[in-house]
Amino acid sequence: MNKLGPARASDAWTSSGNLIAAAPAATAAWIGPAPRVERDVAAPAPTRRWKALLGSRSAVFGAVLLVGYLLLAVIGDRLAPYPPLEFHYSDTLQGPSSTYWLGTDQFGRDIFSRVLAGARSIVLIAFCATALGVIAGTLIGLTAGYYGGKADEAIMRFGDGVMSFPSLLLALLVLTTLGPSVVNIIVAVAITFVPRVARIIRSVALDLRTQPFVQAAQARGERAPYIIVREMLPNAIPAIIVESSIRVGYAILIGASLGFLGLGVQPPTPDWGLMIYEGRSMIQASPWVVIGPAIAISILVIAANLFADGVSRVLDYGEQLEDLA
Amino acid sequence: MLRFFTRRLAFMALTLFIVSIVIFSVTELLPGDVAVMILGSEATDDTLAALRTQLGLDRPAPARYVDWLAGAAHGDFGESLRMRTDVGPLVLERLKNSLALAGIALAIGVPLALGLGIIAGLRKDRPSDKVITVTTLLGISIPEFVIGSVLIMLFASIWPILPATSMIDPQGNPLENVRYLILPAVTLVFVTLAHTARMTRSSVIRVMRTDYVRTATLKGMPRGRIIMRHVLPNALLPSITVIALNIGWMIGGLIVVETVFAYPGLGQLMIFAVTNRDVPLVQAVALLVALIYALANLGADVLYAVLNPRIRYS
Amino acid sequence: MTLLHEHEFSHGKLRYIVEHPSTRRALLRRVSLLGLSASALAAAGALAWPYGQAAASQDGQPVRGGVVRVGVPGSAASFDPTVETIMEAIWVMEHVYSNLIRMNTNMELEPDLALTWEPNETADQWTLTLRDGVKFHDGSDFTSEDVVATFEHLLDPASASQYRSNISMVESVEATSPTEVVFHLSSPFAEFPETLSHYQAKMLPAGKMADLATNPIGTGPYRLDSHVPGERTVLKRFDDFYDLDGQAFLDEIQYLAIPEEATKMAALTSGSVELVNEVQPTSLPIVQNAPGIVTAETITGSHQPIVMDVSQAPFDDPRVREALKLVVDRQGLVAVVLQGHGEPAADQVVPPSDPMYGNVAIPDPDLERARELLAEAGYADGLDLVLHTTPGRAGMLETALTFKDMAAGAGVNVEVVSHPVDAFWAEFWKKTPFFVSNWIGRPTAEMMLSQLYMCDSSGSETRWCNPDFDALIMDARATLDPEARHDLLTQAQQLLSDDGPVIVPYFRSYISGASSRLQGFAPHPLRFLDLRRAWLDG
Repeated sequence: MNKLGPARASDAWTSSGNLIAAAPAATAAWIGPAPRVERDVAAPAPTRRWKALLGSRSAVFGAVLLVGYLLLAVIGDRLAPYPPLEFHYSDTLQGPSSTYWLGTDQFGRDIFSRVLAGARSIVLIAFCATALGVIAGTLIGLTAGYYGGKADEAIMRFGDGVMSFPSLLLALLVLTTLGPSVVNIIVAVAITFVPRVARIIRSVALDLRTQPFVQAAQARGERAPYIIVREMLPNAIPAIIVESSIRVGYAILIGASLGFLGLGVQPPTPDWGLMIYEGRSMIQASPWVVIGPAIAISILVIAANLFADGVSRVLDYGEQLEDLA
Repeated sequence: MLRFFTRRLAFMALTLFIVSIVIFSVTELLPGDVAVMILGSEATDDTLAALRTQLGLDRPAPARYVDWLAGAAHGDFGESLRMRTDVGPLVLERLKNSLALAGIALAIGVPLALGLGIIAGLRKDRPSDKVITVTTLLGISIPEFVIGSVLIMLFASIWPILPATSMIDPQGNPLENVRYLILPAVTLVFVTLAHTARMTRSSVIRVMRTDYVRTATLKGMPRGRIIMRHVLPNALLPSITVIALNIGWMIGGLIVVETVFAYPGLGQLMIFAVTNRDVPLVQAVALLVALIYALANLGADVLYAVLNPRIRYS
Repeated sequence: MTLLHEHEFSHGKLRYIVEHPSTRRALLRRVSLLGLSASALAAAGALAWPYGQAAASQDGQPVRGGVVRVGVPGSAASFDPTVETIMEAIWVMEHVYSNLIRMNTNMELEPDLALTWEPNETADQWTLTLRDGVKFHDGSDFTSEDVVATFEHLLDPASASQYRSNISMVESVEATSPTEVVFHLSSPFAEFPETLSHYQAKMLPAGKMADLATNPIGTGPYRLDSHVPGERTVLKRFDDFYDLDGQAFLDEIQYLAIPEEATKMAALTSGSVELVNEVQPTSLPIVQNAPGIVTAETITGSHQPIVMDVSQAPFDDPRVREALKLVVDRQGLVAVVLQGHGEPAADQVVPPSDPMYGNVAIPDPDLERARELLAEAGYADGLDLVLHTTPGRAGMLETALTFKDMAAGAGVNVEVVSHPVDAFWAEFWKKTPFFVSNWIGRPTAEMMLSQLYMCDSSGSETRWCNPDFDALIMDARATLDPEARHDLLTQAQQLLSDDGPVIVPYFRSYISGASSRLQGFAPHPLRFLDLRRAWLDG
């Protein structure tokens, strides 16, 4: 493993996947060891990992924060001191006070209430987009990896094309076409994830395909869907978990950036990215309009990254390296 | 190696072709067209029809694509429908701006990231490592538009020592122009620093654990020499590819930073092109971004193969 | 535009009459002799007393030289004045091209390329005398042939000029001499000179109109020096401009595209630009506290109406329209949407700055009456509406949200659906029955009323058709007497207010922020940017 260390890093950063295609010998080196560990010490491994995860303070901290945000997404609007859409005509653009803890916006809406209620949209978008992107990417990646050959080549080439756009640009194009709605934002973010997840899962699959248990299943005459879902998928789960935990952070950032560019969640829904978009013209005269949502977003992404960090460490992926675009 | 290289180039051309078809189709699907965007609330049916005829939009989409492709094959990327001027010079001007910004960000960011990564890696789990790790985590977590806005508030309003806009004056003093680039470049550095620094840190840690480093330590080689001779050359290898890839990423990821600082780069041009349904312009920018991205990947792979004797290509 | 009633008007005109009694007599004599319209009066006035000197005597002596940098939200995309409608382009072209007649910041006509304009008895034939010795930026002479060619281009259905609908009554333009043109109209039109001050009515060089989009050739005081789309546009003084003594004091005007408001304000307060001609009201505290920055404000005809398509239920029922108008607290909207920088409006589109403003009473909100009307119309249990808008133009979204809040009080449940600005214009504007629109003022009341609310209006958003309204407009066009015309147009405004298909809750004020060194500049009630007589002090 140590000998292959640097190669691992490189392959993970090589977004095209061509290196892998061109040099099967080095294939999947970076991600290879994990599934093998999984099989070698099949039963005790998950327990041990959970313990390790709990032992990682930053991961636990991140997880606790994430759970807090999840709760906020569910009941945030009920905790709010004012209805988040309620206007107070006589109290527009007030600074923070005992009445309005984080001040008011130009309609006199209570910003604290809007920050609490605003957790819902971003959490919903981040988790759904991640789930959708990872599920689709995993299925495509496993299928491509299992069959190999021309189909694999075609899928990966198409993925390269999609990936040669920065995520934000791609999401922007998709959203401009579909029109902004929560469902479309989820789809747009998920679409940017699919080829990236597929590439990583494919490299896992290329490795799994050569494993004895897959070959045994093939010898038994099992059909491809069965082998992919029942034999390969369970062994790819650590990679999927790591990938998902990393993707959540990206989903939040892309979702918020779309909001900032005016293409995300549309008003009057309370949404942090949107609140910053709406408030940025007042940032100098009334900075409180954006401070609350900015801090809320930042802490959420920090929590997601801490958690992802911990998970990938514990699942033995070392520093997870992602192509960023 | 040569075969590998030509194969990659061929794939690159294919990818760009696919991209051009996808982009053209997508822009056809977008609601409205450039005529609607130009006339806005002043549009009437007959002025829209007249403008569409002037712009050649009354012709069927496939015919327009084939025309565009024929032109593009000869290096003529057509005329911007919105600005009524040749796309080529417009895009190159913006590319120059984006490269200048990315260049400064890399010039500040790369040495800083490598330095921080090495320090953190060598002092794993000590306070300096923790500080660096937390700082880079913040950099990776806080959205660009928040960092940018905070920098504007701090350094252009509260303590006005730097300009808030990044309007480069072509006739201006180059040194003065650099001043305009500082805030956006620093924002970019914040955001990209983390990846390279963390990458370097983990490579350093990994190399420090290798047998040859242990052997050298056991043989009594001085720590400084071990680091210079064994650790850094091995640990920095992956960082080189990270940096190469950062270039490709920066060109596209600049969108938000360019919006915040009103910086006339490729990202802003792309948003302008999309919102105005300026198909030739969208095509040109998208292809350029894809090309840069592909070239950066290729460069990273080639660089890595050249520097790492353990990898050979059939 | 008229000598009557209007305080706005009297500012400019009275000052001049008091200070120059002899000219006043001369004017009155011409009026009595020729039965001239107010427009011609204004022309004569401006002739007798060059406006540039007026500015100088008020604000100190103009100083020649210097560069003014203007922070604007975006850049002009092209410079074809017959096509472009976005403000950033209009602000540039105002200095590059010339109209025959201009509308100055006091809403008075002044000569530009035409020195005088006179109607025949029935106001269906107008004769204009052109300025002699005017050069285009390419060195060629401006003559009556250029006027003819320009109008032929504007009237050609193959041109995309929306101004065509404003001059549809022009039958022919005749060059009677190199410095005289005669417009033959199909129907009388008393405010024809005002119509010529439209922002698309720029005089273009005959035979050289193909490349104006990128290579503008005008007769204006400034010529295009360089243009980097999305970044900056640089204008330099045109050395052969016809009135270098009274205008074009600045050597150079630069337009810098700064989309972000916060960035733009930082640029203004730190001295990176000398002028931001449109400061958002929310930024006012910053600008007001900044040393060396002065602000000025003017009411404009810009408004953001809530538009109802009367061909569709429930808006086909006048009671529903009246009820929806009654829920609006106009002062409240001005306070929330404009932070107080505007005037409440009465569901008609002629602003207080217009001489033909009819002073229609501003309706007070009456939720009880609104409920009654809705009940009569069959919506006793409440009414659900979907209102489309966009955050892409400041105020449109805010208006929709505030309206939603106010309508709830009368049992009307409004769902506000917001779209990105590009999608809004393409997919929802005029394609849904209920949306927020966005209009800038026009030079005359007649133009604004007729462009949108007559039965065959090309710009109609509402399918509203009221023959009485059309008759009033047609009568007003044919009425040369300003007072009688004012009466007719007031009736039209009242009719639009009572029965019309739009809720016009306010007229916007625009605020400019400028370095205190910038003199001779004032914000324009038509949202134009006019630096022709501005200069830099010290």
